[in-house]
Amino acid sequence: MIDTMLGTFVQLLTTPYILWMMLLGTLIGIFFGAVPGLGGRLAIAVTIPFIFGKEMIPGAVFLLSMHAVTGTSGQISSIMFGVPGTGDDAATIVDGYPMAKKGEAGVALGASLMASGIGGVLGAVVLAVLIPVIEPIVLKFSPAEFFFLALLGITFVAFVSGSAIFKGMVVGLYGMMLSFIGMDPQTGIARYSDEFLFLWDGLDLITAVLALFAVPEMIHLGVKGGSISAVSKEMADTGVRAQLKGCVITFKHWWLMLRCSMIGAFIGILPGLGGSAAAWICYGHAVQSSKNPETFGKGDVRGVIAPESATNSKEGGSLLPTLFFGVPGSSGMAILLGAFLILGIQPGPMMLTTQLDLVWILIWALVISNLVAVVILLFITRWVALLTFLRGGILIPIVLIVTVLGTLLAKGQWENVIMLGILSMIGYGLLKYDWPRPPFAIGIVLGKIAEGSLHKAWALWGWDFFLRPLSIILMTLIIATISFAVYRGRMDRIEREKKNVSA
Amino acid sequence: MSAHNQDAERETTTWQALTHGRTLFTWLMFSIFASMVYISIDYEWPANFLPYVMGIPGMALCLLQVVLDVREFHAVKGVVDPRTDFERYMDEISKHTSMELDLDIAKETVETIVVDEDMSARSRGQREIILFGYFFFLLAIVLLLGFWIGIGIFLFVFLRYQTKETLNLSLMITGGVWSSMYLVLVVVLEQILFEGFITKHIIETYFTD
Repeated sequence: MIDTMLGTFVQLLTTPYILWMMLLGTLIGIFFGAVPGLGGRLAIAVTIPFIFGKEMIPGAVFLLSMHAVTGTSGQISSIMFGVPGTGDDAATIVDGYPMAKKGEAGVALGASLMASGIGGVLGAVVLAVLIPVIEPIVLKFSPAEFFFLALLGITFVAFVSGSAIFKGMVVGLYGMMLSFIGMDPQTGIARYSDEFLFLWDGLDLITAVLALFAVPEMIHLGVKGGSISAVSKEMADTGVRAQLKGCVITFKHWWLMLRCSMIGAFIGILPGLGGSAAAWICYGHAVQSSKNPETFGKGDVRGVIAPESATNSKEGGSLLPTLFFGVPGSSGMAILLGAFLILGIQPGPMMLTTQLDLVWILIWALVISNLVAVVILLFITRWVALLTFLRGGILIPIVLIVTVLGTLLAKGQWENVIMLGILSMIGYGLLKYDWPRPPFAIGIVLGKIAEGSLHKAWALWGWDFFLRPLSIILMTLIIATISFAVYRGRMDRIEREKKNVSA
Repeated sequence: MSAHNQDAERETTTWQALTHGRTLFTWLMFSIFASMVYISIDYEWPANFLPYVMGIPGMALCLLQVVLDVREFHAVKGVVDPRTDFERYMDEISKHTSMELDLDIAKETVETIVVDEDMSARSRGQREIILFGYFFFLLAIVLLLGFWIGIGIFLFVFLRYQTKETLNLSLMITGGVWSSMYLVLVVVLEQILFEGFITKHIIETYFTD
């Protein structure tokens, strides 16, 4: 293990192509994080076509570096203008924005950058430490369990995607149904594809992801209208010295940062609990564990350090279920998992046996890209902040063009452009009517894996595969999750009705 | 109000609930599952197994969602929840953290992001149609004229007529984006992209020996 760990570190640092891809990913990630409304998920969705056909390691390093740093640059607009880039950055506003209003934007940014960077590194450390712990568990899993894990992944993500668990599950099942399009590996029957040859290989994953995530976001951005021009641009002015001061302050609160990074990493491990939950839980923890909680919400730097360290450390944790169980730890990881599959990376026990070097390279990429992002942002924050004012009207047509380009690059088939149009309408409907979309990514990514696992399990054990101890545990977890969600929904409704009556 | 009128009112409301956009979308999801399950009847075992295992619960959940949509519609008396996604999100998060959040800042954020006052359902619907119109225009023009001609026309038209940029700025952005993409994709990466049906026909008819 130590040999692999050190060997991959040297390999990463001595291979210019991988380093270049990591740097490129980091820069693109900073851009997508800094522009409100874009974010890590869209970054992966839009760039998947460009890594299609690339070598496995550089492609994976590029995607992971890009995804890992979107959170680091995402808080710039939260702190300086009170505008969260994505939901994950919202917790930082509570104290970051008041700090900026008090003229301490630079300090808040420095603290946030350092907390994000260190959090990202600690998340990777947690992942590295847990590898030997998780190994015997992963190796016990058989095809039967991987089938149930796919279902559990959808259930978890549906559960935390909002109050509508049924909607989340429907979307997950919809993703799975679409993954069945194409030639059935068992019988050779072309399912749902008839004479459409372009569908015989299955629905193009890139087209589906772009249609469900990228296009609806852009249409929504256009429909929503508005801009952030109401904010004074004068607040964009900040200095490197103030940021360095913020970095130093972060180390004065090293114990809080360490605790929140650990919490964030472990939240990341739990499939479905995303960065927003990690950020808010750690913010709550910082308030509760403080001797003077009354300062929170009024510009306390601890209110910036806690959520930022948690949000970035979560990425390391969420790689664990994503890589070893094939169950994405978050919605971003769901899309990343899809991209990994396109690159030929097969999640599961193989990652610990034959592809351990890849795992370690990803861990190192996570560490280095986080540190590189902090250094870069320390010097260019004031210019990156201006990206916040990039108008949607200019972004929308460019991103739409990139989605069409992605569809054409993926397989070079014009028919996929039509599929993009059809699926985008469904994707927009999902967004408009509050149907959570992340379960779709999991469904379409895991559909084929689940089907393969099911057939293998069936061949090995027949009906008995339902009675295996791990299968029973996973089935119980699925039922318990759904039952709890139904109970919670019912309690919410009763509470709402009570409020209505009292009003 | 007579019993007949009350029934009529309830019947009308249920019909409204069943045909409301939100519920119609759930019906659409149901029909997708139903069609896929129906088609898979013709497939032999085990090709139809998982479509049944996933599709039938999908249909059942959609029907359950229709019931929930109708109940929700009645509960809010046909008035759609006025809260923004961000406010709903804040409520959801407060359940996890079990603490009151400083909503003053959240409200300020929402006001900051959405500066557009005219957001009635009607204008929202019109904007959706316009933006989807542009999107389908892009798809059509790429299919007909090819990627390189198509994106140039689309970008210029969108910037000039939708975003209402000046002629010079529209031309400048179009030229800049087009040439950067051409440089990266054609010159550096040597990618050949779809040339479009009409363009291909013209080239084959007039420019090929």
